[in-house]
Amino acid sequence: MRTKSVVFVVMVCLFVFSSHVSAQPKGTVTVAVSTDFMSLDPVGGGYTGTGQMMHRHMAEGLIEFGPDGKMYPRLATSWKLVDDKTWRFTLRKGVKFHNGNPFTAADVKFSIDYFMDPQNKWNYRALFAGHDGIQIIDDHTIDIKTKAPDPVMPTRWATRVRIFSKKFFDENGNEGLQRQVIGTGPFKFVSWQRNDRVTMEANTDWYLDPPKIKTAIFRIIPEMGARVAEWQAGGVDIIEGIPPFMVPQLKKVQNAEIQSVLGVRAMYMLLDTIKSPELKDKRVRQALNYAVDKEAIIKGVLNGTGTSLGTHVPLRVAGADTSIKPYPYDPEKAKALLKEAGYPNGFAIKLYSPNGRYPMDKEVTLAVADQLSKAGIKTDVQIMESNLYIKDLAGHNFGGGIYLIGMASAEWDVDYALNQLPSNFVLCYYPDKAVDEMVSKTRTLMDPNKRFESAHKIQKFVHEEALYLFLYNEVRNYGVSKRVKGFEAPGDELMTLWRLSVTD
Amino acid sequence: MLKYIGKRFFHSLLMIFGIMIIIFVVTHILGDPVALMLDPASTKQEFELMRHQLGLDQPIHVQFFVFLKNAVHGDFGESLRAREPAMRLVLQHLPATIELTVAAMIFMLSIGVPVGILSATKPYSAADRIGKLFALGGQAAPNFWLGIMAILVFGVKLKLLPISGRGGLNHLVLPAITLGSFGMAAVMRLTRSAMLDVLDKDYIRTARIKGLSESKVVLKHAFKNALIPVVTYVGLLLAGLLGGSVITETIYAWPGLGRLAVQSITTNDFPVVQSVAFLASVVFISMNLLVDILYCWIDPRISYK
Repeated sequence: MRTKSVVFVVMVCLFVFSSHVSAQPKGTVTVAVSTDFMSLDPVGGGYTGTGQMMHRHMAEGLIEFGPDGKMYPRLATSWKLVDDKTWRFTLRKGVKFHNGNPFTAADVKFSIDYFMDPQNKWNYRALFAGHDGIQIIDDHTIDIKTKAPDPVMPTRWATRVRIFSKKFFDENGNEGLQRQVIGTGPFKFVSWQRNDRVTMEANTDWYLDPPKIKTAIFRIIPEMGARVAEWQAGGVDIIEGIPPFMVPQLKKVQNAEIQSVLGVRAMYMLLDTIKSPELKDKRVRQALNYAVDKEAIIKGVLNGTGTSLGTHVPLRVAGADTSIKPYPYDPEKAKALLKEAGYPNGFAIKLYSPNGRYPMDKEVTLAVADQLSKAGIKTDVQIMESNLYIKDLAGHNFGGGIYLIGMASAEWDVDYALNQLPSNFVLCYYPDKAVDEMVSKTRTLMDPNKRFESAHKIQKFVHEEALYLFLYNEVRNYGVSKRVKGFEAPGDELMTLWRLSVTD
Repeated sequence: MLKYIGKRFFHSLLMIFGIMIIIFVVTHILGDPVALMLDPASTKQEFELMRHQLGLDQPIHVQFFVFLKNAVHGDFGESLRAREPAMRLVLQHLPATIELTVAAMIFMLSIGVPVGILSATKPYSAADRIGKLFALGGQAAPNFWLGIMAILVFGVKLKLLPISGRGGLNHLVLPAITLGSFGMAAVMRLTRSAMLDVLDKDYIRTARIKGLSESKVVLKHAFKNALIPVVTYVGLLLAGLLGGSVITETIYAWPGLGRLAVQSITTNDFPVVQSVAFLASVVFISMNLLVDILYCWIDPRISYK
């Protein structure tokens, strides 16, 4: 009996001790990223993908995406539609900001108003053109209104808008937001050395399971080679954006692994039906799609890191019609279609590509050009500096041709891809009233089943009409040190560090 | 002398004005910051609104005069991206660049000058040949290659030194050597040839006949007279480095002016590009002036009237 009770006491002590130990976060995880915060203040012209990713560790949204692309309740515990233009969010109770201020509906209203104020020049404001104000119902309930029915509104807020403390802003103003991040998230802001590093520490009072690591450091290393070298040397634990050509070689690195995941960016080519008369003909556009061997490009140029596409919609987003098969490689059919369209000897066209905007962009364009020329199309490839390219592309300054583009559906919803079709968007090179109508009707359907059904119809139309030269869905490659446990590679840019632990 | 400095100062202002015109025109013609800032899925109206808010819808000469008017008052505008005054951003990045430049200079001079003198005093000896080999290597190896090799050898393989970011003194070693190697080689060659020239002069023979020790002859009589080309070169190099070294700072993720310049050019952040260019040209022009004044001290026969 006595032995038994001693064992029991020892067990209890061990249990208490071990649970105490595991509750204390320990260790540091260092991540190397390519770009920095432009400012700690989220509005202004410089909200980069990496900036959002770092922010969301400290300042949360109402809802957040997991690495799997699913939505998880955060500062909002639930949300529902009140009427077609009103969304009601129930906010989490008992949450405190890092400076101790309680979190209430006033903070949500302040943050959303702050993001939406045109004076603050937020670069994603265009995505919220349908926003029609926010109303506080009580301390923990808000209504967000939209001008037209908008089924993806919660998704959009989830990805883009961070909730900051109103009280902190009232006391410190813009300057305060530029110096400090006061949010409710799993990590607290420690310091930011511009263009060098961002340091955060675990928020042990977080309302969800607090982080297991004590410190998270994001180091800004813009040059890919330097990032990889630092990772190989063991100076950083996780790196993002490994280009496909490095993957086979880096798989051999000891004590580390490469995690590859299907991303949310679709790569395709815009066909300028406004200035290139040949591309107005559907048969020509289809011929282009038949003439390009996507599998060969993925294998030869991308080292197998990609999946070929039959539309411009990334495969993992909600509402993507994955039943649509890519155009098979069939140069004979391409030639026949060209003949039918009145171009038995092909035609000459220019291909434009940025240099370094997307992984292997110029190489992919050259490969496409080579394959098109085998189908009898005389190509002239223009490789441009990335900035000039985007400027000319958005300004419709090219004199006609085929233009490489990559679009990332950060909202994990087909809506973003549909958004690129109507004629009032800057990158629309296929203005068509029927498309405009189809898209605007679909984008306001509130029943998800009906919306996706309609989106599928549009995707079939896009495929059948060959509105673009479809290429591939990008695969994202991350390098992860073996000392880090629990890393899940995200399909978007949003890495998550609060579920990680380290072995030493 | 004062009159000379005054005249040079006036010339410098004209030069800076010219530089600013060129930078302004080139950046505004080549890039459109709005196309990079906004999501590609934005509407045409959003593009117009943002252009208007940033004042980019004005004719370019109007934009230039607005810029000039503000610049005279010390206001170089707000960064289009960082929501901070552009000049403040530039000044934030200056200490890192100064730190790296000073380290590179120390490396450059502490090796380049002694080896140059040694080579000159013992021409065609083994020491001279090894020195020349180093000079050849230092000048022939481009620093992006040298940097990557240094990272691979000392960082990845041997794990001896940190290879990116700013931190303690050990963080400075590789970037400073990479940045300084070209200058080190040049300083060595210049010192060697200038010394060889001077060591042949009559007054050196006189000094030796007087019975002065060889070290006094070389270091005091010869070296001081051989300094002019070295000082000119080092002065201009220093000025260039203080404007930020794009390649070295990028390879080693060093948070200095060169990085900021690249970053603001790639994002078409005009006010920051202009501020970096302004600061770099002011530094360069002042260093030029300083070098000219130093000549008077090195060689009292030189004077400006």
